[in-house]
Amino acid sequence: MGRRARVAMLLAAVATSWLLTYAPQVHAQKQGENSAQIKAASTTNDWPAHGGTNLAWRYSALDQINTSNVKKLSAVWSFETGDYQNGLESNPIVVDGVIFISSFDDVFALAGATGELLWQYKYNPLPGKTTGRNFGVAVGDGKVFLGTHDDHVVALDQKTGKEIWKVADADSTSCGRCGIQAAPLIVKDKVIVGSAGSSGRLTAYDMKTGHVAWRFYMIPKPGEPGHETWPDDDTWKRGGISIWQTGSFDPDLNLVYWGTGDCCGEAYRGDVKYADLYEDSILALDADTGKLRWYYQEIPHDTWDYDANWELLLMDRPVNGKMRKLVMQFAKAGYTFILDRVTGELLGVYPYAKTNNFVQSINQKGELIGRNDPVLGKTTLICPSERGPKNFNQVAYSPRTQLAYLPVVEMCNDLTLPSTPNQPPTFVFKSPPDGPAYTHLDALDPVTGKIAWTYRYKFELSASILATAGDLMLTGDPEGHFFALDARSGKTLWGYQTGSGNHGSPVTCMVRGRQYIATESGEGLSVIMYDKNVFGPQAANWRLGSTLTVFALPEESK
Amino acid sequence: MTRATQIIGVIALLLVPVAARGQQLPSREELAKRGAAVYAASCTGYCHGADGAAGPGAPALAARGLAADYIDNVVMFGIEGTAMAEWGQRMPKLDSAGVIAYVQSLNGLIATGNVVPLRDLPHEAQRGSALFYDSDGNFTGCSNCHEMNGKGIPVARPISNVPADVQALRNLVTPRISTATVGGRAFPALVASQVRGETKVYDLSSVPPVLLTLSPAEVKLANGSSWQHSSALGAL
Repeated sequence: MGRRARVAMLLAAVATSWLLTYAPQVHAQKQGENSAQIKAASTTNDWPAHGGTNLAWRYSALDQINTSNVKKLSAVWSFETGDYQNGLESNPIVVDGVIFISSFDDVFALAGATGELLWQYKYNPLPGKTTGRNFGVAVGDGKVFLGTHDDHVVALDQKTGKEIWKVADADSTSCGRCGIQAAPLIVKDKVIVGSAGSSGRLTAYDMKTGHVAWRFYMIPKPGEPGHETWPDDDTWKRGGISIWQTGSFDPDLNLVYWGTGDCCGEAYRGDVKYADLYEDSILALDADTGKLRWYYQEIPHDTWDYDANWELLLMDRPVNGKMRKLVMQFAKAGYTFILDRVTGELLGVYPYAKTNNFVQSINQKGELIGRNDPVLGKTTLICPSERGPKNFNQVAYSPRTQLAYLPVVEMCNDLTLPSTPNQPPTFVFKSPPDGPAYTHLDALDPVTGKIAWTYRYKFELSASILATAGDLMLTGDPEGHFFALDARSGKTLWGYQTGSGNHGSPVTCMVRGRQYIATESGEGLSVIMYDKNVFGPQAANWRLGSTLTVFALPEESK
Repeated sequence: MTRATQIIGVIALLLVPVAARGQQLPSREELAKRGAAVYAASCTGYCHGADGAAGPGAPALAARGLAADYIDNVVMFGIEGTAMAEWGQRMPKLDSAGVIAYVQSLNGLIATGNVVPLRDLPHEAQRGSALFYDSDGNFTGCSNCHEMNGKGIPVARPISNVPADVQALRNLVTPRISTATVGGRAFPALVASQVRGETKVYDLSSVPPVLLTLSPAEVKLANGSSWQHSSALGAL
């Protein structure tokens, strides 16, 4: 190649790179997020937090792997945790080129480039207690933080995996169905942990000492504001509003955002009279004190098991022509809730699932119109199902396309209430009345709900989504395929058979100049059992597994 | 409610006769039973005392707040430089598992007590139970550190002896609290274990106590501390 040709190619490459990198940001700036926010919300070499960053976009600024070369993407190593019963659905964290995953309350530190096991931490639960599903660890202050099934919080040395401190978040020998599954959230000098069970709560620990800095109970005690929303008995003591997922954090407002679960094990609690705060709510708490700044309750008196635990995306976008600081949630009830994250004001709500009969509608004031509450001693077909159109799997948002990527499972369930009150219901998964259950993965404007393209799939998509600056959107299916779509068009660009169902969270990182994409396979026995109800005998062929598979471009084609 | 009535509540709870069986893993209980016999035959006499008490040549093992993995380690691998050899490896597996389970039971790590359903307790004892088990979640209950009848966080001694009266409860001494200094910070500490280059202490300066794992060089331990039960238990 002559010098002139080389110069021309270099110029073309620089121009393309400018277009790819900056042009969309200029565009984005006009539309909404500014470049500072895009920077704060994007991951680069690491994947430091549960949602990528504490703004929960699941978006990486890495573009070495992109639409033009993804066809060459190859597996470079894989790792088996050995926990086939639960599968693998912990969200990997990557810090300084090391991937941290958790499974069954065990933690593994793996070299990102080679998969070498650097250390493994095995948690010993209290006598008589078991370990179980874990959604991931958090890394900060040179420590790896783990919440356990017997309600302990453990801080490990990031380099060696040795225990530094351990504290009982609650007395797991006394509480009911309690424990920690959600990944912790690092906020400034604290690690915040959410617990499930009879006294659902958020607790902030000093990362250095393990001392409790503040605690917020999901149910207000007598004398506290909100307690009046409970019946005048001791239901509040047994309410058990659980925390199943991880929150978000806005450093400018110094507010921590967290979604809460439903109360009372979905048991029928008599006439719809009580709001049972803070059931099915989004909370905004002061990061330093844990004091409640505002709350927004999505579903008062949830009789359908929808919860409001799900990831909370923080972004600034215009709404009705005015720039707003938003917190948004694609809730398990099949509706998207968009709030002003300064005040908690509801700015918009729209259904994202097509099959929806638990209410006739939710109006723009957030009121549930025409509730279809289950009836004692009867079976009611309720849509969406209690597993939701979207569950623990998290969406992604790309500032380049300004689209959110949202997998929507169209599925219902027969909800049967026992004939006496205060007993838990049973759920049997069913296809929607108008056809078989299926998934549509929508690329949509998160504020308006306008769909740009859709990827249709015959079974359930329940893995998280990853979006990258290479204009790729990646996720996996229960048959084992992990695949990349063009983030702009939805065209399938690449796929790989991981060997078992995908139910975890793909992430990406850069180690010594090479971009890696890591994904988890292994659905866990319970997911496969559920799926058989709806998807029939095909689901019986889905395999158990628990593998982290890592991909990169061949060295010569980076 | 006055402090005195609260304390009476706790004592009432402690005095209630046990009636119903608690939830437990029968195999571990059986192991502990087997271990008790092995312990009596092999570990007492020259070294430890009967029922986990101190003996002529070795310290007490009962109610020491020993951690499960620590007990496991010491039984199987011994303590270097002492007469505590790797005895666990020199006996049949079931016997060593039995001794581990037995010593764990002596430290409240296996629920061998009997649990009374709350609804069967007299009113005062119900109130005592609520206080003991920290049902308000305010980090003030005894169960943040003590286990009783198989419930509670086993940081320190399980509650097995009943104080005779309110004064006895108030006068409960605070045994074996040390002052630990780590990185220039001094705090009251309960030593959980010191073995093979690893020191585990509970930091008692906040509730719930934090179990710290340190190298011996990182921590300076001195006997005694100004820490009192009364300072930890605001409610009492």
